[in-house]
Amino acid sequence: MDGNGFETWARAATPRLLRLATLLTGSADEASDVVQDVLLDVYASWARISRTDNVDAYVTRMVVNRDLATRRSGARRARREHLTAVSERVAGPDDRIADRDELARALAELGDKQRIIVLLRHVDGLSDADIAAIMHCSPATVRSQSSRALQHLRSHLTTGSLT
Amino acid sequence: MTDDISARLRAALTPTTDDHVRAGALVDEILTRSRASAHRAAPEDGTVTPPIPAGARSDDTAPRRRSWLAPLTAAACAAALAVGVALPSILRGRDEAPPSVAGLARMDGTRFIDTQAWLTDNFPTVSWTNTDFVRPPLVAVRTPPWCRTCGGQEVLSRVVASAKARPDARFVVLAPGATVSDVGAAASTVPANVHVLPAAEGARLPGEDAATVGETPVATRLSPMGALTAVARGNQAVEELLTPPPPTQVLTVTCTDTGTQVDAPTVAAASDGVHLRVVNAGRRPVAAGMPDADDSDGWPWTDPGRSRDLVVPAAPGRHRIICGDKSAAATVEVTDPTSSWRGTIAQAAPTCRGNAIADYAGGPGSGWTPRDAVLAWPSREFGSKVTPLAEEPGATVRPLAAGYLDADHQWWVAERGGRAATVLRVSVHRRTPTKDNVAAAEYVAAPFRPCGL
Repeated sequence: MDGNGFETWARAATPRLLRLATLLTGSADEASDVVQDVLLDVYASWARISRTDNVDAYVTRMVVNRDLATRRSGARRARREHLTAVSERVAGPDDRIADRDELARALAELGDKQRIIVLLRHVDGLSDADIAAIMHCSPATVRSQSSRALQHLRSHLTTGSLT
Repeated sequence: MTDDISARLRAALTPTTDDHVRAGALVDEILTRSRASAHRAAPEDGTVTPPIPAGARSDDTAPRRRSWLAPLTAAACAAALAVGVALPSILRGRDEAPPSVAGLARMDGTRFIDTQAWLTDNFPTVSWTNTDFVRPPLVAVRTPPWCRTCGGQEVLSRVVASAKARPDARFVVLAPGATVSDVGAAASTVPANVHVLPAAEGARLPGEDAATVGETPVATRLSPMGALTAVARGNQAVEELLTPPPPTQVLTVTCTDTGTQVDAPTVAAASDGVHLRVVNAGRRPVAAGMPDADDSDGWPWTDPGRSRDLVVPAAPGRHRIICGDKSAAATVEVTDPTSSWRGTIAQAAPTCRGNAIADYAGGPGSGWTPRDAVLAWPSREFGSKVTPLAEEPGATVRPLAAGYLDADHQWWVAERGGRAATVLRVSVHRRTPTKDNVAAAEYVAAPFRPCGL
């Protein structure tokens, strides 16, 4: 039933997209919404998207843009109050849980723009220019926001390795 | 340092088991949708659209999205509204077979959540409606946490009123088994777009989850008695889902030195009662009101040249309005377009004759729920000891379905030996917000009418 490869790609990529969206939105529910919407778009345009050089990166940006669009619409008001609950839901026999939760909380305290920039820059590996294009701001803004975000993370992440 | 943060971020982005599970369900849903709609419209339907540039905003794809989803949406709505194939074992308003529970959530991604907000100080109110074209329209109803014994019926009557006003929407109410039975007995009064499900069915629906709507937290689980409905996915577009309250008609009552004038022969009651604006055009202070209203708060005074707004719990029908007790009265017809009137106290508690001497010690009771407040009411006084109703052997209390749904007070009856003893009026007293916009509400119960035995 996967004649065009969408299902294979989606099953492999969706867990990571969900995790990214959870960190972006601070809510597992909203993350599901964002990813579902994006996957619908991807499915509808799969013939074109599948021909891009890096489908994962492309769709990652779609997730970020979807999140941005939702914020800009003003529709998403209350959120991240349930971050603790989100963390509990992802809990399992994993030593990284505590670290993940701490990071998630620190990320949640960042402004929307700073959080997205940090994730794109340090996880997705995008250049400042690429991020600026996505965020509709200047590369200088990306750098300054990134710097502030890192400063915040540094001060809120408690492990001694962050010196 | 930065590298360390990057490493930690990457680690944080490693999908969890839960992510894998949710992702699988998500992909399944999308594939199911696509297959269901495949015979109606192919995804690549020939629509000419330019290639998406790298980094383009995903919402740039909206035209194609609509062209693909429109048939699916229409089909889904038609299925839900006309055939009902995706609905659980439902007590529909008509003779429709109860369909399967399986498709409801998957069909539209709608999540089902408990509608009992932490702090709701009034009767059930319709609070959101989902108008997203992707999903069939659904309306969320929230019920107050204290409404342990009246949830199903109260909510249902509210939903029925809303359903009549919104025939294009589909209303889903979850209720406990007993309530469903009650509803079944009155199924002929339930419009076809109202679906009442046993709460147990709702508990099996996927996706119940904590959610926050505006600043009102919504609990996670289905309550045993709580009515439940659906809300749009997560918090997205909640603002768009808010149901605007219907415009409230305010009847202007002008008091002159010789009589009473109204600016309309009829007035439509709002869900909390009849709204009046009393304008004193005379030379003396005047108290205006509707003397036939069952449980009026009394008539407040209005000074000359001033006006005062009142909400009067006048039942639907013809009423007198009078400025003072000696001027000529005006008459007005009260209508109830939202079906918010539930009946009089006498109808709700027929054994309350209201002609006995009060047998209470006086003073209100207070508590964090209306029931607590009623039970704390000092019903008897023995010497120096005041006995709250809760300590009185054989005493029971229950809420009365009387007055307007959204009135700022509610009615309870205290019964002894199964007979009404006293009707109590319960009002909410808002305490000063403490923090995080959480306002504490305390209920106060005061005797309103001794019933006699």
